[in-house]
Amino acid sequence: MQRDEKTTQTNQLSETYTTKALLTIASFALFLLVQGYFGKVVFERVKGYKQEYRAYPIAYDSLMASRFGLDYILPKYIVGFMKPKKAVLLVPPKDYITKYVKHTSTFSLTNPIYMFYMNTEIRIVHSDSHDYNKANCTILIDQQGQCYPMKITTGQELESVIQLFKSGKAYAPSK
Amino acid sequence: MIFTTIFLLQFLIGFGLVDRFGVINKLGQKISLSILLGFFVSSVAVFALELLHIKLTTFSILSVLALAALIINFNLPHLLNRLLGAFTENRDTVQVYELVFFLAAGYLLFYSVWRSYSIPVTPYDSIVGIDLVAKQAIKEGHIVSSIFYRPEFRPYLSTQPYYAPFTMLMQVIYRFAGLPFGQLWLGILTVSFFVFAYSKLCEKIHPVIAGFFVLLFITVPEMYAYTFLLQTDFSNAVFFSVGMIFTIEFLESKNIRYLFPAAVFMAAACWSRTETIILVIPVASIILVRLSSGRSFKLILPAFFYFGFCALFNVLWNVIFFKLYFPVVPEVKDQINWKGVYSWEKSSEILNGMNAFFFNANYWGYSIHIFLTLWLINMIFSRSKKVMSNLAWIALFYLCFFVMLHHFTLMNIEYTFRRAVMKFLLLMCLLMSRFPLLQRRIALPKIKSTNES
Repeated sequence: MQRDEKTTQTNQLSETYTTKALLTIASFALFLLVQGYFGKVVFERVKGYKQEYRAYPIAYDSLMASRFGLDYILPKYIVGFMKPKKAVLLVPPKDYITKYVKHTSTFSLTNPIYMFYMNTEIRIVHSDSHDYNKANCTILIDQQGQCYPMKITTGQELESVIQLFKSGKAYAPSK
Repeated sequence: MIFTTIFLLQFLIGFGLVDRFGVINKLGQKISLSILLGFFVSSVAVFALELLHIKLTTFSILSVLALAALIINFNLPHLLNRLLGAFTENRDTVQVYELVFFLAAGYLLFYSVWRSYSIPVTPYDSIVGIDLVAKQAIKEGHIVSSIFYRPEFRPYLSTQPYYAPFTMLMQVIYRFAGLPFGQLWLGILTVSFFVFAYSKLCEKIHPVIAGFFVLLFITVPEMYAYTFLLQTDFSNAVFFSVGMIFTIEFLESKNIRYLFPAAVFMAAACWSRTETIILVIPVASIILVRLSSGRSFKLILPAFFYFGFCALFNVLWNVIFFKLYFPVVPEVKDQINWKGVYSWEKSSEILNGMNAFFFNANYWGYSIHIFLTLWLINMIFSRSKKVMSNLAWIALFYLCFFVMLHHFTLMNIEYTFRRAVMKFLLLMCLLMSRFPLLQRRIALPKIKSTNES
């Protein structure tokens, strides 16, 4: 009698483990389906973030400088609370174009490109999307430190902005 | 330290309320909803400081949050008991097959949170909108700062600060907490939502299927980006979908206890984007119709409570703040259009535009297609009203946006509706558990304990 009960218990245990093993295989298969098909775009993108995350402590200074700069300087300029500082060239335009435009770091299709021109040099160049048709935006700053947000809608506009930045001239708004 | 204290206070505020609802018992749901609700209430508390014209400082924010936490949890021994109880009662054991999804979701959400912490606010609307107002509030100690007065600057200011108080106030709180870019709360909000979604789905469907759906919705391309890019839409979608799922549960069960979380989270949705009240109108009407069949006035009171509570936060922001407090009254007349609406050309243009964005797999992956396919299969096999209602809610909100796009000049399909699709997606994610064919759980055989034998 006792042996029968033990056998039943062992059978139930093995059934449980079999079910759990099958469920684990099923969940792994579903995960692979999402990773390889349904959510492939995001998984691919996150690989880039992973590299960025690993590079973060190494390039901490430059990254944080560009990020703090981007974050703090633009609004200060826009509201005019801060006089233009001496420009610091964080990322040379050529390097920027090679490094950032071709290898975008942020995901959204709507995320803008921000380019900052200050006095005679580029202050910060930050890229978030290479798809300029969507909602890319640049902030042009003239000799006086005035800001001119400009939405880039065509390749020509993007090109002219890049040329302007490369030329090292301040933005001269057409009146 | 300041950040930890603020976050803890927000959690306690939320926990005190969630615990009172009485319908949220699972640990995952309790924790996640406490965080979400804590965010909402704390933003209202900071808004109250502004209304009272108390200068915003780290100290004043900490004080008002501590005060709110104390008022909500006035019985401290009870709070401690409930906190301990939350961690000891209803403890779910994690199965091996769940770990696969936990690890995958954890991997994706980790980078989402990390990016929300480490990258600056990059969407243009936010830089010259809510985040700018938040930063200026830190400098001047008030939300109504000089940027609103300066005529030379006003053309550059985006319209966001006028309709999205929640995001702006959260930026104020988290920038005061000392975070460089403030937006870490967005990452926390994302994690909280998906924890809630998983826990909620597991109530009715098998964890393997629940895990699959949660992962599927985390990997929606455009939406994933908004988990770390500061915009108003994702937080709005989170509150809206949570509010809706409790509303649906209330309508099904007629249990008044579901109405409170439904109304509170829907009010939070209205607080995060004020136009959400337009979506609340048909929902409240449905509550009214469904309950009035009982022919008792008492039964229809919930519909008024539901709508009234949501409207309260709209009134707080749009009437009390803008009409009575704000120095420059924004012109809203031109923002509502009554001319040439509902013409065939206009309607087809709007509808085609909406459809193009709604079914665009580049933005939303295949999540919408999967939802619709599941709905169709379930409809064919079960033909229940429940299944029908799953799509009916989506269709209703789709119609609401169709109407709004006709009338609101500031709304457009390309940006406003596209980002509003996130509301549909998160709701779809939560509605997945309501498909009968998915609800058949795989039962594990019970093992007799040694004592029993």
